[in-house]
Amino acid sequence: MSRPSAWDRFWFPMIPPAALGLFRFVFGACLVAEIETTRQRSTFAIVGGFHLPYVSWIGPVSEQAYAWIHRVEYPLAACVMVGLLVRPAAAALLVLQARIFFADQLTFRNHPYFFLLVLLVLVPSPAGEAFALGAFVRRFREKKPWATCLLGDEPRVAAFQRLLCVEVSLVYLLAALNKIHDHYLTGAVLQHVLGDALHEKAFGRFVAHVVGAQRLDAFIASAAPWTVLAAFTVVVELFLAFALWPRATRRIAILAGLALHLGIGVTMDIHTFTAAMLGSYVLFLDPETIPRWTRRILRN
Amino acid sequence: MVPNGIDGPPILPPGPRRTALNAFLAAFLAVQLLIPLWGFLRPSADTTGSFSWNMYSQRYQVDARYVLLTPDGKGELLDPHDFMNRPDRWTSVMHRETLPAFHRYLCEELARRGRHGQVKAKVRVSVNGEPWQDLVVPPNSTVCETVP
Repeated sequence: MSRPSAWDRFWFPMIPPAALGLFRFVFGACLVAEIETTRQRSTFAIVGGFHLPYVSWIGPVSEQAYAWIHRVEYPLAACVMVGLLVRPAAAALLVLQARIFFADQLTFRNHPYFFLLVLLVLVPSPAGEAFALGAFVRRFREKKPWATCLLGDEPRVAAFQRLLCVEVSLVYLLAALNKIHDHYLTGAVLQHVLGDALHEKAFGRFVAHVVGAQRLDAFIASAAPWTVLAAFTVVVELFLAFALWPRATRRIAILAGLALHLGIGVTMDIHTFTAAMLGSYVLFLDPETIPRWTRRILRN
Repeated sequence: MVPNGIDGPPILPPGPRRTALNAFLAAFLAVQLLIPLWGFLRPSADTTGSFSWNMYSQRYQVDARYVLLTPDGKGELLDPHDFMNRPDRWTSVMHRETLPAFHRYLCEELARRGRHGQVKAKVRVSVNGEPWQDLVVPPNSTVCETVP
């Protein structure tokens, strides 16, 4: 028997679906949390006002349809989160969110785009086979052990989990490559973006309260901290694009990612994307890690 | 299952399922590589660079001035924010690809509001602190016209 190719060994090993199921749970929670934000920010999708369609045959939606779509998304996202009818729920969410997203170019935001891509992968995936209510109840009725009810009873093809890992790595890599230019590396872009955020968001107001508004303004106005921060973001994003994969660098990559995303989440009030990206780190763990931890917890 | 010949999990055997997965993977990866590449290659003044994961990576400054020159010769300054249902996104329109659509809408909306004349615009952008570029050439030329 000939040795499988590197492509086949990367994409098609049969592995426990536990990490994918755990990610599905976290991602479902992020979907629920993101619905209201998208409802407020995607109003270009509504009939009336200026429109910039992607294609002529995808038009805007009525106000009633817009409200209905966002209401219906809540139970669907909850189904994805708890692992009930995952495939149809994810498919329906994909269609509804894509309808809003592609109704107008001006509704584009990176977070909903990332969520659409993840949904596209989750639909055909075995994400509903672990840490999923539907699968748990089915196996419980079959009198299977608790660990099997939670973790699944057979390995599944790794392709979908690996594809999500590749997507996350691509996001980090491209985000970093977009930042490699003089204006960003001098810190000017961050000074402008975060300077505004520090004045407007809760974290900035807290800092101003603690250190004084004048000191905060002086910090925002000085160049050196922003240059350091700009270099930090590029280095960390480039590092994360590759270092989450090998076991030797994974731990430090997770810590670096935590620092990056928690910093973004706190300073810019970007929470759901932060949680989704951090939640995706479980997908990079060795396939037996989550099942081993789960069995250990159940034994204790 | 096909063992991989070394310590490791079994591999999904060849068959229709693997063929379908290969097609899905190839299509997904092609889209995720080619579309951002397209965004990289296009100048920022031309396109918004959506789908390229350019998150908070550049500073895009817009200096836009719109004047409605009415038939009686009077000039009236227009605020582009008044024509967007989300005023904070108006700079997203200020790219060479998208500006003509906004100008067409601007005149249609002015006509709906019963205001007629020529709309003259000076729109210039600066990407990452570089010299300003005019998106309306020549500056202050007529971008659209409404007639009663």
